[in-house]
Amino acid sequence: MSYIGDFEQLILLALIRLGPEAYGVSIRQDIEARTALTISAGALYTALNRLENRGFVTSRLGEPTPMRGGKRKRLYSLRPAGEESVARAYESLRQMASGLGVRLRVQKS
Amino acid sequence: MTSAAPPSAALWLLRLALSKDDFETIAGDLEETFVADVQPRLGARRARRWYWRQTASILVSVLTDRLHIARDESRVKGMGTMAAIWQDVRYATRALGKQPGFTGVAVLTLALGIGANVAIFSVLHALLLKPLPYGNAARLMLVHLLVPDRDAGAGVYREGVWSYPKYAAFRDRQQAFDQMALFGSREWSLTDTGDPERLRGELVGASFFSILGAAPQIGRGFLPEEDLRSHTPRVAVIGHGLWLRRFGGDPAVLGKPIGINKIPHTIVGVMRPGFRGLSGQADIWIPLMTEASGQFTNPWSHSYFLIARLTPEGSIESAVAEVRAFASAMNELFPPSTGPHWGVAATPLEGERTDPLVRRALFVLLGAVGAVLLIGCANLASLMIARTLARRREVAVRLALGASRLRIVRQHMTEALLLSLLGATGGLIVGWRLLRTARAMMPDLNTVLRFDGILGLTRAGLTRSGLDLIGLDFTAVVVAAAVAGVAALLFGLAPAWQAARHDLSSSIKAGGAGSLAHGSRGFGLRSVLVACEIALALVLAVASGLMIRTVDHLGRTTLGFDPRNVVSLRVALPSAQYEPEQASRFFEHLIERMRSRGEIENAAAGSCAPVSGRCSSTTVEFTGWPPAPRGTEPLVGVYWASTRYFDTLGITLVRGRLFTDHDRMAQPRVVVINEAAARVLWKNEDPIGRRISVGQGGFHEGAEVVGIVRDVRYDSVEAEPIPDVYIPILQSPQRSVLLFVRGRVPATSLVPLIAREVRSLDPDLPLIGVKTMEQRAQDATWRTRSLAWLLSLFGTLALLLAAIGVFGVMAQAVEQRTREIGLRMALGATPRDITRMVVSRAARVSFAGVVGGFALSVATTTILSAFLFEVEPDDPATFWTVAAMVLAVALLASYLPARRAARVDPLTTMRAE
Repeated sequence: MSYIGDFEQLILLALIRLGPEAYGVSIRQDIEARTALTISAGALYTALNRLENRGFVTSRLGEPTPMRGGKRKRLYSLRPAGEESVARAYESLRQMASGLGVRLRVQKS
Repeated sequence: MTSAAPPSAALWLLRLALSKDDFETIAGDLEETFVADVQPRLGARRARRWYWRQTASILVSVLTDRLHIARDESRVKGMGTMAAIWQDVRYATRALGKQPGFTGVAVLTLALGIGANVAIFSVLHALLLKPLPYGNAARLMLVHLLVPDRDAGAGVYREGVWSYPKYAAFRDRQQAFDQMALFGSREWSLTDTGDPERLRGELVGASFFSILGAAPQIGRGFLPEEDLRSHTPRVAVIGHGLWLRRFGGDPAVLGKPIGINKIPHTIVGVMRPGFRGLSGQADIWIPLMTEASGQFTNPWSHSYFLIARLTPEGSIESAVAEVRAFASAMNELFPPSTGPHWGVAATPLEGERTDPLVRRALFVLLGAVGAVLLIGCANLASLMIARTLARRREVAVRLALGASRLRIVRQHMTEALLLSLLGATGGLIVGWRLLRTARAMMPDLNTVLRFDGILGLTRAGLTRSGLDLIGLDFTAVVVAAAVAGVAALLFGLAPAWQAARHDLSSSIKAGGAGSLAHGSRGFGLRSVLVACEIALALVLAVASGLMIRTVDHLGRTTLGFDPRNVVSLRVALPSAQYEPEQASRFFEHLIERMRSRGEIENAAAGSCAPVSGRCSSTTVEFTGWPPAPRGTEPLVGVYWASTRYFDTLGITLVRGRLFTDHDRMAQPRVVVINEAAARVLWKNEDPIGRRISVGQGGFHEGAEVVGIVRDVRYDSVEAEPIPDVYIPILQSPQRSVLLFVRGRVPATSLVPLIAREVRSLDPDLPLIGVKTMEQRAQDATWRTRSLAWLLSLFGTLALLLAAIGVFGVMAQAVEQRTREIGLRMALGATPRDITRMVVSRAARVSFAGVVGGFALSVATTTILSAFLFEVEPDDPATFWTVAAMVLAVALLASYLPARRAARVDPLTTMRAE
């Protein structure tokens, strides 16, 4: 199994949720809304670029929209290899975490 | 809500960095987020900052090659210039990123070098070049009198201040200036609000503020009628600092009274922050006419400076000529009773900005940091050459594949520029830190700024204003960038050229870097660089050696007094309440009270502190001798001293007796002289019991010399003592005296105790200029010591860099010649021979450097002579010691590579081929 970094996992999970119309803005919003992380553009596109090179995601150009100054979107969708990879990663994490629920609770302040 | 577009510069950068599709989609994403989310949430300003952060993160990703939005090499030819440069930058970033050690050393060297240059330049810029913080500074001139200086000889004049009648005569006759104002620096006691405080202020003519283009922050400046003597209401304008400190920045302060020397004045205005007048330290301004009326009728009571503004059409040259011409009218109106005629002169205010010595010190330091940077650049050039050699196969392959030589040079230069850019950024940070540290280390300027002549006040004031201007500004950034650019050319051009002129086929064919054919390529150029480094380092080392010897001599100079545990402070009694005799009783009483305290060993009053600049000098005559012709009477320093003055300061009695409590008004006048006076004035005769008349303190009638004391250096540590005469303060009462208190405990802990004793006699009296004598002795040599310290710092840095240079070149030479060395050893050379061979090679280079440096030092160290004390600028001892030291350091640096060469195993090297 090839290892994928945790930020990449987050992106793959976002792609599952967002479906075939996912693009930079929606991926970023989804992750930022759920994780309270702040994502820099450089990190996001670097990760997407790498995932595409490794065959985990595929991208195509969409239609221009006025909201974006008439610029086209790059739409990303998951490929089977990516889906399998994130599923594996999640499964390993679940296995490792089982029974540790109480101790893994995030302190809410 | 109005939505602004993303910053266009950021868009331009992104377009440059990304391929067409990537630019469209990524910039599109960013714009969507920017418009729909970030801007409504954070507002336009912070949204723009957000956009820039995103852009930067993308640029960093592209530059570090993590974001592969590659444009392949084949497209380079079709690209525009900008895109090609961008390609070079990416290539350079990648190449430098692969060698973090080299990059780190290079950037650090440049950052230190550029930082030091930026810091020194910023000081120089603020003190000499930046426009003064006054409106129309270029049209402002100082007009002053020229007083014949008998001290210096016939035909020599010193700058002098104005008396009111002379000024009035000048004002009515001149046309060069459209506005003029007299001013003078004064000290007053602030009495009625809170703790008594000593204030520095300026007495000014009404147009003072408008001449300087300084408008008050609130309220008004002075009105024309306040320049008239008939005007009675007393008014004052206060400084911003005083306003905050005393009145909490309350705008209702206007119209309130403020007590100055116990006389209420109405506050009519508050100046803007940073305005401290022409003395650079004023907190309050009062109209000139407030001063005692006798000042305005006596043409020989000189006490005001004159600032004047040229008419818009007037030129400096014509003003100078007109002012000079006024001299004859003045001498006709006010003929001097004795001696030659007086003169008048005008100088542009800009020209009085700083003392020539400070200016020279700054240029010396700028030269020193420039040399350090040059040495650093030489090292970098050397490193770059070594890198080029290591990469010559890569370059050869690229040339073979059709890359033009120009392109290879450009790529190398891009690397150099990129390093310089990083170095400049680091340099700005280093420079900023250095300036902050320097500011914190600056002592009281009054003791540092020693300015001869009466214009000293304005010069010191302008220097003070200049010091407030010091800071990293746009000019500093431009200078850093320019220095970085020049540095890049210096250390990048030679290696780039060398890289491009490589012979293709031999480089590709020849196996590795260790091949015999190219073993010592680049060594010649690098040897020259190292020799230059050594020469420059030697110059700096000689300069710091001379300064260190100077400081050493200063430290060993006998000052003539014992500064330990003595504190000095001034107490000035207001003339409104104290007649001279009352003042005398006050101080006697105060000193008695202090002496009764267990912590205090002794206390006394005087007029002038040692090593703090001479206070007052006068002429003397001898009873019974024919009077010397006017203008040639001997001059002496004159000092008032109370009983026990000499004991308190630890000044030794040589012969005769000191002042006692019996030397009072009703008793015969007596004086004590120093050894220099005995030697100069009486030659071989015994002065004790002789009579002398002193031109000050009511001692014209003559007094008996009762004692001789050791010479004390009153002026500075450097200046030889001149003849001095001490007058008993009990026979010539003073209202303002300098108290000296010697403690049985460290001097600083005495201050609260002294303050309590003074307040118990008069609660309104502030203590002025509290300073220990040790501090005064330190301050007296501060400028010399700091120059010595900085030069030593830069000298050490230069030497270190040069040593690194020698090490680098020799290490590489050894590495390249490993096979040759192995061969020699196989043929019977001993490790000793090999060591000697390497070290002697280094010695040749170092010796050439030392000879060059020696010549350069002889030519340049004379500019230091103004700072040297009892050391000649060509002091042979310093020169030879430093030369030997530099040579030793260079040889030591070559010893490590030599030892490695001696350990070469002949078998291994032979087999490796």
